[in-house]
Amino acid sequence: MKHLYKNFLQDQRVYNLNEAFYKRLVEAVTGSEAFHFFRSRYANGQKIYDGHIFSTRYEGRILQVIQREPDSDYPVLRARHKKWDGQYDMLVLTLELSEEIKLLLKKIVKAWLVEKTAFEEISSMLPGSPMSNYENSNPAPVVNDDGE
Amino acid sequence: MQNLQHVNPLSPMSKKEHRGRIQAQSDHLEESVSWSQDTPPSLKQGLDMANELKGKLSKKELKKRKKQFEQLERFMKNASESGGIYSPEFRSFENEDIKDGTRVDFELWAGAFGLSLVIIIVLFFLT
Repeated sequence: MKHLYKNFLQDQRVYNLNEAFYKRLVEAVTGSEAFHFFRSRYANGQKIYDGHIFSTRYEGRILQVIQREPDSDYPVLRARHKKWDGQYDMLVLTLELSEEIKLLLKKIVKAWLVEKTAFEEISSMLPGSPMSNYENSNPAPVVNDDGE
Repeated sequence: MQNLQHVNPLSPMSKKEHRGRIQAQSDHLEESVSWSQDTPPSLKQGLDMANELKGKLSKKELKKRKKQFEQLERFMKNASESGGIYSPEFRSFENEDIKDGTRVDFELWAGAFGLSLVIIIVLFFLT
């Protein structure tokens, strides 16, 4: 497994390069300039370097990428769907960036932002390993008891 | 703070200037505490809301999110110490050891959170 931008959480220069990678990817997919949707900065201007590395909004859909420090020897890419402020469909991708994921990521970003693919179909595009994916689609029944 | 839990911030009638929620989720759980108000929530309000959300969870669900609540509270404290944060902002704190999406999310939909008192007063007189 060849991971990319491995030490992005330790080195702000690498983090910024890593962030630029996502910006380029989104721009290549949408054909238009990509801007952060979420600020990822405190009010004093200080940037937050915590792995919520890129977000964008395109034609009413939001994409948030959360990159984890690489520590798996299998492809890690999980997705979930949220409704942002009751109006925008939002796809949250949690991943460890590797060559394998990079190839898949472009397809998923294009499917979500450009082709307006349904979340269920996005889910089916994710790596099949039971260790790298989980079902988490629509509002589920609340189970909040202490039963074992 | 207690009155906030009765507000549905998704309702068009409750479109206040400062809105958001914190949420505990997994593929089998969805609990949240929302705010919708005229002034930005303070750090204390944020921490109170986190505690309110904890109170909605079973011991088992809370235990699975112990570290994630600590991360949320640290994020809110860092934000407050750095002058606050403006919307839109989203932070997700996930328990990576459990493969069911167990997490705590912070969603700032509109307005601001954790601003200093001086900025709140200025904003109040500007609006």
